[in-house]
Amino acid sequence: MFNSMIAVFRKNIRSYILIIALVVIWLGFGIAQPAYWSADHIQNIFTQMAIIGIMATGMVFVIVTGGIDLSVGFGAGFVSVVAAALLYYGTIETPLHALFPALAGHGLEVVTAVIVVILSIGVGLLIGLWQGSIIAYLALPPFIATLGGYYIFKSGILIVTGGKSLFISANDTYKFIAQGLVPPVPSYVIAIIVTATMFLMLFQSRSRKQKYGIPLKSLAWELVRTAIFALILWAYVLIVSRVFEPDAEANIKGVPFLVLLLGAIALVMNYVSMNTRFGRYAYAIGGNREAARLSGINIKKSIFGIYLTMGALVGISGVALAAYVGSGTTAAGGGYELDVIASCILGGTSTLGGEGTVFGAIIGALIMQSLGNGLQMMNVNSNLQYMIKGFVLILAVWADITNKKKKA
Amino acid sequence: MEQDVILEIANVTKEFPGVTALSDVSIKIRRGEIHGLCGENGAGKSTLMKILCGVYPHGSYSGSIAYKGKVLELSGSSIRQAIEEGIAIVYQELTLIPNMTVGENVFLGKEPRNGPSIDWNRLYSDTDEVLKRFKLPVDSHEVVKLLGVGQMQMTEIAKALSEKADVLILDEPTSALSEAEVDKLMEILKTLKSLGVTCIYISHKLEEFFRITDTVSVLRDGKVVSTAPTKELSLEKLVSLMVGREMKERFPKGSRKPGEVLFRVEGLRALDPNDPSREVIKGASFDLRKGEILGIAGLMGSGRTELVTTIFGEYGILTAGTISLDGKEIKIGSAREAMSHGISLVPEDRKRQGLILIQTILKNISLPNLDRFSSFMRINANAELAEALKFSKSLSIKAPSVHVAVDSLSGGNQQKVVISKWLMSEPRILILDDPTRGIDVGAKYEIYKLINQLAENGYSIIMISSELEEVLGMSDRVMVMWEGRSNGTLDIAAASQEKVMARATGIEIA
Ligand SMILES: Nc1ncnc2c1ncn2[C@@H]1O[C@H](COP(=O)(O)OP(=O)(O)OP(=O)(O)O)[C@@H](O)[C@H]1O
Ligand SMILES: [Mg+2]
Repeated sequence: MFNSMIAVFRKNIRSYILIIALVVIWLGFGIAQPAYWSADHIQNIFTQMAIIGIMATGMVFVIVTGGIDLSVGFGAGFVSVVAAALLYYGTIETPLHALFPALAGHGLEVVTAVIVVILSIGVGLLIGLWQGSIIAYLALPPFIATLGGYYIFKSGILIVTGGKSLFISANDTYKFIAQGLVPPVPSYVIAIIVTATMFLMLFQSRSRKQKYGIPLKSLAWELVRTAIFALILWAYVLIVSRVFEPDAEANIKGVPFLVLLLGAIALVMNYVSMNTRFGRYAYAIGGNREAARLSGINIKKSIFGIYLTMGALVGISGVALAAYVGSGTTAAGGGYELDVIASCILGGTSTLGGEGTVFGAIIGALIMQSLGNGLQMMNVNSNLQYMIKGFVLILAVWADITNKKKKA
Repeated sequence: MEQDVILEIANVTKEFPGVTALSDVSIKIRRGEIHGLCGENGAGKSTLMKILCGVYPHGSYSGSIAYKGKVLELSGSSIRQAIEEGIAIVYQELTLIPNMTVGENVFLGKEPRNGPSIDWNRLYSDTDEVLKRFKLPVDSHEVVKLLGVGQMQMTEIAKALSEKADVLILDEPTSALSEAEVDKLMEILKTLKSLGVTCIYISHKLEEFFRITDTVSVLRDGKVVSTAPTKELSLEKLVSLMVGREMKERFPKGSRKPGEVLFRVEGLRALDPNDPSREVIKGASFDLRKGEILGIAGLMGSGRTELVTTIFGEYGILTAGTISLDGKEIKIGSAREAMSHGISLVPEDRKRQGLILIQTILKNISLPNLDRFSSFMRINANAELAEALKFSKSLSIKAPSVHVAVDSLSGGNQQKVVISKWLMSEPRILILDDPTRGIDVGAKYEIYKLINQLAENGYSIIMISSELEEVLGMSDRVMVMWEGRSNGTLDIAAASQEKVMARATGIEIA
């Protein structure tokens, strides 16, 4: 049994190689700098990667279809300054209070935050609508359409902010999105539900497979794999709930809301990529557009849907960005697009299209963040940090290519 | 070693993950002969050839290869090495660059230079010389994408022969050629032979072996089952060596009774979408009955593919004529619309139009059929897999599992995947554009049986084929195309090779 498990592992080594790389990075930095393993840092690192991670889950689809989106950085930045402006100028709050005088204090804050979030995601969707239309229906090359978007949104940011930072100190509910923690008890409940669902789905899928007479993989291996994922999940939840630091203050205990959001989005997008027509069509289009068209796939609609989804994710990221920074700044989101693209590519997405996974992109984003944080904690000269990241990216892709070649 | 053996393959074994493509293969190729190589799809023919020209380098296989008395050690870093040794290959799949001219393609990677710049005059005059020497009827200045498949094949041969080649390998050169072009190729091979070139010749059209080869080797499941002089063989013998059993007939008998007219095309005229000044369909009319197999015959370039892709909504710009289904006129603007009317098309070019090479067999087969497996958002992966397994079994697709990428399959097995994909869509009208190209005799028979079965169950079939025998063996009626127009439809009882050819060449006009 153990041998068969090893055999299965060998076969899937490529999908685990990223995780192994991640473990190596963590072990390396952890040994050199014990603070790397502190609960504080573990809590931070996932929060810091969340915005990039959320956008990467959509960028995978874009790159898989053979496209690219250079506008996501300033797109998210634009959404973030719109949200900040709405809060800063009281655009929502003031008329709301005037209309419903009963609504005040905390209640007003919550309603305002909800409206701002909805409007901001709406702005993201408009961005997606715009880019999706010109790419899918006017057949503009994605590179050019989104390069245009890059400049347009950059300008939009400057117009909305008027060149100054817009602080949103007044609304704590809004800031909870990026700065808040879900307290330990609800965190445990969520973790229990997730764990139970994972095991339930494992058995359900096995029994369904049996019904169709499809050969099953080794149960032991599937159990071990699910157990490892559950273990990692629980380790994280327990650490950030400060179970191992009994005298920690209550206000630092819990899972960051933003991480929860990332997890939920990643799960949904991963599911969409594997189990829906929308996802399948994306891979088919990227793999061979002509064959996909002759298979009766509505290419324009698919592509449009993908940029629209990307827009929604840009909207969510923009909302989170404003909450995370606590203000709308003139440079908001600049350079994020490259981090997002790098995460996807590090995670195994092929720039030629047709290949890539949401899970990989999340791991890619995590690797980038882990590396960045580690270098910072080791006090590596910040001028050098980008260079190191650049070499890691090149090295990773090179290793991937040679690994693929060997298999052929 | 014997004097006249130019190439000796000894005990070669080649393995891929999960597949032994060649096991202990030994063949001797004599200098100056045309050596035929046949075998079922996936038997290992192309793999063996790829070893000979260094695609799979020395060390990636076991066993040895002696060439002109020396051990052949190709490093695989570049295909140039084999060419320098004098081994040239024309691959199963065309490898030309469509936007370049014939001359540029022939001298790709070895352009004659004049200082730092390319010497265009010499490039074209050298190309012309190669073309002339081997009597290849192609214009060196023509852009490749404007050529027919036959001329592309000739360009490939010119490319292979542009440097001194002692051994020329041809991997299924005739699978996409019309009979007239096959005749031309046979002449070219005879010319080559008289010039002393040794040839290794792979084909699934077994008659060809009897026309030109001196010796034939048969591969089955990666092993050599026979090497014998052609004159000691017969067609039946060859078939039974290949498939390991006797095959009594080439075409299965169907028992179908075509019903009323289902689909009708009248006076169709269409322009080339890439060059609207050119009319590609100059008047085509035919009807198709329920449960009928309608064959479409015609020479290469007679507009058969153009006609069916235009009907499918994916090619020509219609200028006149009507298409009607169930007596009602319909307009088809895209593949998707055609499919919504229950019309499916198995396209001609599997690599470009039929398959997503990096994806698995499973995903390729189910792609046009996902709606069937989906409820709301979710795809029922198990139902999908069960259905795909059914097809891969009934067409005997040779692969370790349906989860391997299609690009690791042999050419013929790739073709089976394309066919499965469209059979699964259960259309009312299935259009097949040369569906058995590159498929071995045994599998062809299985596909014929499936097509018959579909017709018996009331599906209507339109089948294009470049093999006259196939059209005559399978169809209820044969529509003949000539220079972009339909030149009459013959009842199978009244049709013969001569009659079809007379229509296809315009000697007889309907
Ligand atoms: N790159 C590869 N990776 C894995 N398996 C391969 C690869 N190339 C070929 N094979 C397998 O090796 C076997 C022999 O393939 P090959 O292409 O030599 O067949 P063939 O005799 O040329 O068939 P056909 O008549 O269909 O062209 C097949 O089972 C095929 O699936
Ligand atoms: Mg082959």
